[in-house]
Amino acid sequence: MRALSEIGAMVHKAALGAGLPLGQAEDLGRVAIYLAGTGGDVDVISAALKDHTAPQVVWEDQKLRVTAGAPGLVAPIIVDAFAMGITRAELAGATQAGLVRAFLAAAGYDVIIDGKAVSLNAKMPPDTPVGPVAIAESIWTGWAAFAAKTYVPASAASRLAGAGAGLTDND
Amino acid sequence: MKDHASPTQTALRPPEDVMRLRRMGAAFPTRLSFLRTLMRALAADHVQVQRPIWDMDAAGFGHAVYTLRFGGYDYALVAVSSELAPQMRTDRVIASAWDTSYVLYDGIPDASEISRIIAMAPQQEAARFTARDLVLSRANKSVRLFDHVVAALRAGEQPDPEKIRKTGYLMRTTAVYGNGKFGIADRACIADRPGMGGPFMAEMLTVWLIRGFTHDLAEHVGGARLSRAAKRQLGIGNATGLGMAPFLVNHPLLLDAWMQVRETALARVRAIPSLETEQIETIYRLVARTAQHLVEWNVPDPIAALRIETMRREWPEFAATLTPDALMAATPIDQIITSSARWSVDTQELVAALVLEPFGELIDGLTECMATPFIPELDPAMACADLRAFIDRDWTWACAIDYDQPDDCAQFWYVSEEKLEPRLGHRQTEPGAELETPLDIGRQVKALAVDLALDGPVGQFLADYPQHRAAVRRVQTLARHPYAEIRDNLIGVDCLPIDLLRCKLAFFGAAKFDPKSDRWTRITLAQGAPLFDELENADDWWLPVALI
Repeated sequence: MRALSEIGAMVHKAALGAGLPLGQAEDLGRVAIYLAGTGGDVDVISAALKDHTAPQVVWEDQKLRVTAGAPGLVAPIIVDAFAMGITRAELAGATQAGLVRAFLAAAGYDVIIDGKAVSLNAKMPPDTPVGPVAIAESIWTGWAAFAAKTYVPASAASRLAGAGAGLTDND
Repeated sequence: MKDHASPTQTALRPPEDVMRLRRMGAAFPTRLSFLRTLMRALAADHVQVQRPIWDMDAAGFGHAVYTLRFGGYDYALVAVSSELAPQMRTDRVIASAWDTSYVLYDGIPDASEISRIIAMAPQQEAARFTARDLVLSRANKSVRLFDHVVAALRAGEQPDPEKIRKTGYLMRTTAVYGNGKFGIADRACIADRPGMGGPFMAEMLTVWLIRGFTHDLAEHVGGARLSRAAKRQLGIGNATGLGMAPFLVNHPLLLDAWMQVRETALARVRAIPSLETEQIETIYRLVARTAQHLVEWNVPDPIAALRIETMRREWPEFAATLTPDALMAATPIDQIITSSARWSVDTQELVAALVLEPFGELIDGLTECMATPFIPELDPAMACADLRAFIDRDWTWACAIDYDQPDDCAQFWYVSEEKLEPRLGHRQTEPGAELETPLDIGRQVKALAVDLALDGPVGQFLADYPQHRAAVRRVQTLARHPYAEIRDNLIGVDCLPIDLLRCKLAFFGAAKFDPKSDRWTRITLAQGAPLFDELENADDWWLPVALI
C-alpha cells in the first residue's frame, strides 16, 4: 500500500525526470493523488510521462482548440481555460482525453468527453482522495525509473561535501 | 487567521526584513514553537503516559511500549533498542543501523503489530510501513554521556552535572519521518484530531516520548533512578542535515502561516499599552535566564561562536535598558523592539522571542493558525499586467540578480542517487548541475519577468510559455501570502543552508544550535521540558538552562 503523499511526491519527481516543467510536475503530482485516492486509473499518469510534445492551442470564443501537445502539458492549459470561463475544448486526439478528464475532475469540473470534444457539464467540489491505496508494482517501478533520472550519482567528494557531515559520531 | 479575539496590534515587521536568510538563521524558539504547543495541549488534556511493556535485557537491548490517550485517541510509541558496533554509529542519513528505532503507532498495538514493528523499525528506510504507523524515527546514543550516566548509577551515584550540562541529552534522533514516508500514514489521517492538527504535532509527540525512553533505558541499564532534575536537564538531541532544507521552499503556504503567526504575536505584544507588575517581573526573570543560557551555549563552529559571543556582549547592554521606568512607560514592548535595532540580528531575534513569553493568554491561540490545508493555486484569469505589478512589487530582490554570474549561481541543489536525499553542490566544480532540483525560485521568477507579456490573462500567456507555470504560481502566492517566500538567492555563493535549518528547527522548539558545518547542525529538543508525570508544570521552560 502507498500513502497518498508518497504517490504525489513520486509522480512529481517522475514528471521532472521525464522532462516536464516544474509547474506541470506539481500539477501532475496532485492529480495523481486525486486519481489514486478516488479509485481512478493511474495509467494516464504513466502515459503522460512519455510524451513531451509542445502544446499548440487556439483560443476561440468560448472554446479552446488544441492542435498538438503532450497530455501533461495540454491538460493544465484546459483547466486554466475552464477557470477563465471557457466551457468547451477540442482535443488534438482522443489519447489526451484520459488525463484531461482527470485534471478537470481534480479541479472540480465534471465534463462530457465525446471523442475529441470536451464540454462542461457541471462545476462541483472534487471528491476527497482517501489513502492508502495499492499501486501496481509495474506502475510504481515505471514512475521510479523516471524519478531516477533526476538523481545525481554519489562520489566520495559529494558524500562528504554535499551533506557536509563527518563520517562517524561516536561521542 | 482563525483567532476570533482580534486584539489590538501594531504593524507586522515587513517580510522584506523578516524573510531574509540571515535573520531566519537567527531564529530562536518561542512559546509558539510546536513542542511548547504540544506540551500545553497534553497538559490541558491531562494526558497520562503509561509503559505497559518493558522487555529489555540487562544490557538494555529489547523493546518497550509507551501508551497515552490524547484528544480522545490512543497512541503508542514502540521503542526498539539494538546493539550497534561503534563504527556503524553515524548521524548521517547514509547510516544503515542505529542504536534505537521507533514507531509512533495509531492505537494500542497488539502482539503481532508489536512484532511487526520490532522487525521493521530497525530497518528504517529499507522497510515498508502501514497506515497505523504515524511516525518513524531512530536515535543514536551519545555514547560518552550514556556510558557515564550508566556507570554513575551502577556506582550508586548521580552522574556528573557538568557532563550532563555539556551534552544535554542521552540520545540524538537522526530522522523523524511523518506524512506518508515509506508507507506510514498520511498527515491527513490525523490532521482533524484534537491536539494533532498543528504542524508536526505527531513528530513532536514522538520526540518527547523518545526522550522519556532514553531516561528509562539509562536507569534500567544503570540499575538506579536518575534524579528528577537530571532527567529534566536531559532533552533529546537531534542531528539535522540538508534533508530538511528544501521543506520551507516547497511549502510556501505553511512557511507563511508560521511566520504570520509569530509576527502577529509580536505585533500584539508590541501594542500592549502598559505592563503589570507580574509581567515586568517575568521579563526580568527571563532576561536573567537568557544571560545564563548564553553563557552555557558553547559551540566549536567559529561563525556560530562569534555570534553567540556578540550576543553575550550585547545582552547586558540590552538588559541595562530595561529600567523600571522603561518597563512602566507606555507601549513598553514596542519601545523594546524598536530600540533593539541597535543590536546584532541575533540579539534582535532573541529579544523578539523573549517578549512573547509572558503573554500566553494574548498569543497562544494564534497557534491554531499554524497549519494550513491549502496548497498554492494558480489564477489563470489574472491579467498579465497585474502579475507584472506583483513582480515589480515583491520580487525586486530576485530580479536584480544576474544569475549568469558565477557567484550568483555558484551552488545547485540535487538529490543524491545513493540515499535519495537533498544535497548541495558547487556548480563550477561538481558534476550533476544538469539534474538540478528547482529550488532556484528567484531565478525562475526573473526568467518569467523577462518573457512576460503585458496583454491578456495569465492563462493564455502560460499556453505559450508553459515553462513559467511554477513561477507564476509563486508570484501569485506571494502576493496573497507575504511571508511565503525566502527573499534570498538560494543558489548564490552566500546561501547557507544552515539558516534554513535553524529557522525550521526553531519553530519546532529547538535550542542549543550546534552547527557542524554550513549544512548540518546538532540541536537539543525538550531540554527542561516536563517529564511524563510533570505535565501540570508544562509551560515555563523557554530557553534551556542548567537545572543541576
